Amino acid sequence: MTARSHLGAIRLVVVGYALAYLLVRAPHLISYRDRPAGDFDPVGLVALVLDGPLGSTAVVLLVLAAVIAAVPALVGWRWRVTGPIFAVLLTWVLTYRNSWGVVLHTENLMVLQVIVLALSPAAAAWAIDRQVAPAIEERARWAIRALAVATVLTYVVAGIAKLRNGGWDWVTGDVLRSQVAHDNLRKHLLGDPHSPVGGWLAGVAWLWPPLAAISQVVELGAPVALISRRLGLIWSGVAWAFHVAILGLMAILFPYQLLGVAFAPFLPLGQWLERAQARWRRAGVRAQPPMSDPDTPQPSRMGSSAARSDSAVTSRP
Amino acid sequence: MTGVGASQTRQGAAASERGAVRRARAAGMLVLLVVAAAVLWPVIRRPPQDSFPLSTYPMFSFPLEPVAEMDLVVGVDADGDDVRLSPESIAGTDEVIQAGGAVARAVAGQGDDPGALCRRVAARLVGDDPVAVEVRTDLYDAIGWFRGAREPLERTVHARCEVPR
Repeated sequence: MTARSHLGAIRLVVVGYALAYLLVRAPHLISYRDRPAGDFDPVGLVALVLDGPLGSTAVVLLVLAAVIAAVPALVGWRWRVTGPIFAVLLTWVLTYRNSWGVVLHTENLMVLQVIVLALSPAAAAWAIDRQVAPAIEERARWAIRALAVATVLTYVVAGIAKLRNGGWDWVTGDVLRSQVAHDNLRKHLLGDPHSPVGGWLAGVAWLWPPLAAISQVVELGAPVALISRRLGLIWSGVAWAFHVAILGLMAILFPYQLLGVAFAPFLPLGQWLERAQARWRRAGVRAQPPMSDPDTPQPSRMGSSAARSDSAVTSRP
Repeated sequence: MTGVGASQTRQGAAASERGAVRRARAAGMLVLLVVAAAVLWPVIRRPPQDSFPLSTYPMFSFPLEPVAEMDLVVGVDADGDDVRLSPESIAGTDEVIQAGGAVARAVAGQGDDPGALCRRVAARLVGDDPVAVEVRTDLYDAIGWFRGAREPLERTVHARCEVPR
């Protein structure tokens, strides 16, 4: 598997998820068109640009623009332009949604990964408009490393927050237990699905220090995933199980993590796509696939093939 | 092209490729360092500041008292019993954290006052079971609640309003 194939596959999965997310959450995102202005508390990019809420039409149009921009980015068409445009629109729309007094934490990693992808040659494979450049393999390798670093550091930061705000008592005491009880109770009282199991288990005092310790090992130990491909896979599996436990104990859904998209930099996605494509071909499908295998020379559609070596690309005038 | 000329061309291409790889490596390292610094920035800066998409991820990190202070908006039916309202009814959102935040801000005197929040929620409930809406702060034993201690330890009603018929 080439690095560009892996990176292209990550683009497909991450941008594909972001597009699906925008479509599913569009009614919610559009609902911010008519909120009380007194609740507006801008953060991030929105705080740099706005003092007050946007008009209704602008909110709707920006959500629509983000959805539309995701399509060319997904298929890798003119990525150098469409990738950054999509990244900006996605960041804007989700930052705006978080600018109403409460910052949520389920979408941060998706946005960070889209931004890193937008700065990378993520359309050098698995794209209808493959954009090759000199030293493409080296650039793709570093982009994948940057995606992996962004992923593990979000967990490290979350681990640091627990030690900073809760001290060692977060690991050895009742902080996690109380948090689980409070969170489930708040959800119940505010009419949202909660975890009766988590609430009931909050009464089992001895259970929580080991769970807190495991949680800290997953978060603060995340950098081990950068050491080798095998450790990356193992940590991804453990982190995924961690999110399953959060879902079970607190009814908190981290869809980006639970669907495995967050861990795309650690998974051999390019290899899986190449195998799937090979199986498709063996099955006798002769039609030209919409996305081309980076290592299979194609009749030149866009005047380039990612199968060319870097030197071939470099020597191109 | 002579053999010597072809060889020189190949060497030139190889040197050019090596240069491109070196530049790509430097640029890649720079991007990686910028990404790492950006993700770590919210915890490095003083005071640490949660934002989006760069966050301190403070969720579930703070110690809490066993007694939970819950700012709530609840419906009250004709028998005087509580009717749990959805985040959609409370704050026009399907995000419970945002609904809770809107109620907490109103109770704290930031944003809408409790009376205005109460009337807005009541207006959303026209035709439903509740005959009234209350904005309250209830104190509960958070762990005990799941073991059957469902009565609030203390209740403060900030606003009450009728649901329009």
